[in-house]
Amino acid sequence: MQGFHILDLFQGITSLIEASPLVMFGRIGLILLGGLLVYMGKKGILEPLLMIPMGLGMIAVNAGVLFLDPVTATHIVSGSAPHPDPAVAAELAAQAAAGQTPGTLFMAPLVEKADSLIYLMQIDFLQPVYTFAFSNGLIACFIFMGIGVLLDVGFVLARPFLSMFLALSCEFGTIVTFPIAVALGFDFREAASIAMVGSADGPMVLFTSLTLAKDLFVPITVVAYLYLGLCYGGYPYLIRLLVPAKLRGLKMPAKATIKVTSDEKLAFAVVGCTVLCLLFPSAAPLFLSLFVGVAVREAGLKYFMAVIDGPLLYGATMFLGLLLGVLCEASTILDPKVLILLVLGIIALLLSGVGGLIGGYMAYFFSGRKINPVIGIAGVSCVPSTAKVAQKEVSSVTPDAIILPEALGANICGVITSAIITGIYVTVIPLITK
Amino acid sequence: MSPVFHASARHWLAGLALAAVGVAAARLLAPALSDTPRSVVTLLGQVIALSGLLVIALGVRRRVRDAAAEPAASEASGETAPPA
Repeated sequence: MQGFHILDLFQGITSLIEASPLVMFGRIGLILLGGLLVYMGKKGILEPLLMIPMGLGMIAVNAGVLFLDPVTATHIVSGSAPHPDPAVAAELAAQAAAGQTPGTLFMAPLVEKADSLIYLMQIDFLQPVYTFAFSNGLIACFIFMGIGVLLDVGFVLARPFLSMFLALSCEFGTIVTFPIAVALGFDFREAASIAMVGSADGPMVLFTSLTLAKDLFVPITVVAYLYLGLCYGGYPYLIRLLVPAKLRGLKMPAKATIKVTSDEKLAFAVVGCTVLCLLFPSAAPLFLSLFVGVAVREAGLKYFMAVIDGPLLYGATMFLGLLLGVLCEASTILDPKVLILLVLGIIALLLSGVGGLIGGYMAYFFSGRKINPVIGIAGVSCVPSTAKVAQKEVSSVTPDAIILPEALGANICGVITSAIITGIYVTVIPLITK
Repeated sequence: MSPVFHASARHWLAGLALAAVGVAAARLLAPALSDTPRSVVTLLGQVIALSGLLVIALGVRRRVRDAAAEPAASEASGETAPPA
């Protein structure tokens, strides 16, 4: 029993005390934030499907830090990109050999070398999911397939001009945030990934940041998913601020029920997927995932629909939440850039909402004051939250005013437009930065 | 085939042709050009290709509107559906 220390029994506490003050307080802060996310998810303030696994993952990863055994620690240190400072790199290697490297048994996101990854997959229980489904964007694509199955492109085909115009207006934040981020010191790849937060589309942000800014994808994606809750909670206030009650309650002229056939929707999905993949091959996985969902729905493949909008969509969402939470380990996420990210994320979403409402006003004037300007905000592609928010705000003023079909058209078109903007960013940015 | 479907088919063909021209401009023609014209032709090609999708969507909208107008027109003229 000589040399035994009681704190060796409770390594989570020892590793917390022995960390630098910044990391220690970061871990405590993230444990508290995780608890807050679980609470807000349970109360329905934020999306529970994502926030409950994410919050719990955040708590567990920051509480469960231990001193890794020398073999595992050496694999993590030698398998990751070497530290730019050779002295620090040598110190890290010595620390690993002495069994003094803090880490967790969840996963090691920075490891790149194949042999180290294979070793770690036998140690860290989430490493296989991270390596084979997260870091290559598969989870984002699964979620996009699920969104595709839930989308009815008939709403877009019935009102193509209005839907596309409003969806384009809502990309205001996605476009304007890019130069703002560059002005604040981010490089083009990081700026494009941050600007995508304005699309309010989680899978798209994940895909862009994994493709363009792998070093910042954890904070960017976490910020994006946290802010998605703002679309539901914050946009109603933006609508009330920018659209007077008289206009919010505007009733639109009644229209006959529109029947776009499933053949037309399927043919449009095939043509749309082909053209967009030909134009933007870098974002082809996203386009395929979205349109395969649409095609499965319109072809009436009920067994596939049951798989995609059930186990695939919800399983991917659960693991996405869990992995995002586990990625929020203090020593990984504590970066001075994160604070600026928090501000830029808000700016991007705010500008997208404002752009959408400006588009709504333009549609109102061009249509001879027939179109309700609130529809504009539905072009933000958070499906179907923004369409529901628009309808709710209109109904609160005029209970029998129905704008949902038009709002859903803009909403669904917003998803396609965001995918196109993603395609443009992931294609053009690498060419500019060559 | 009804005239409604003829009108829709024209939009589909025009949309597909426009999309193909746009893709050809952006992916085949543009890479062969020097810097500035390349960017212009790429952007132009992308816009033309996406306009092709818009033309198809407009065709569908027209088909739907015409189809919705047909029964209303027959009701107005007193026509009835033929017996089955």
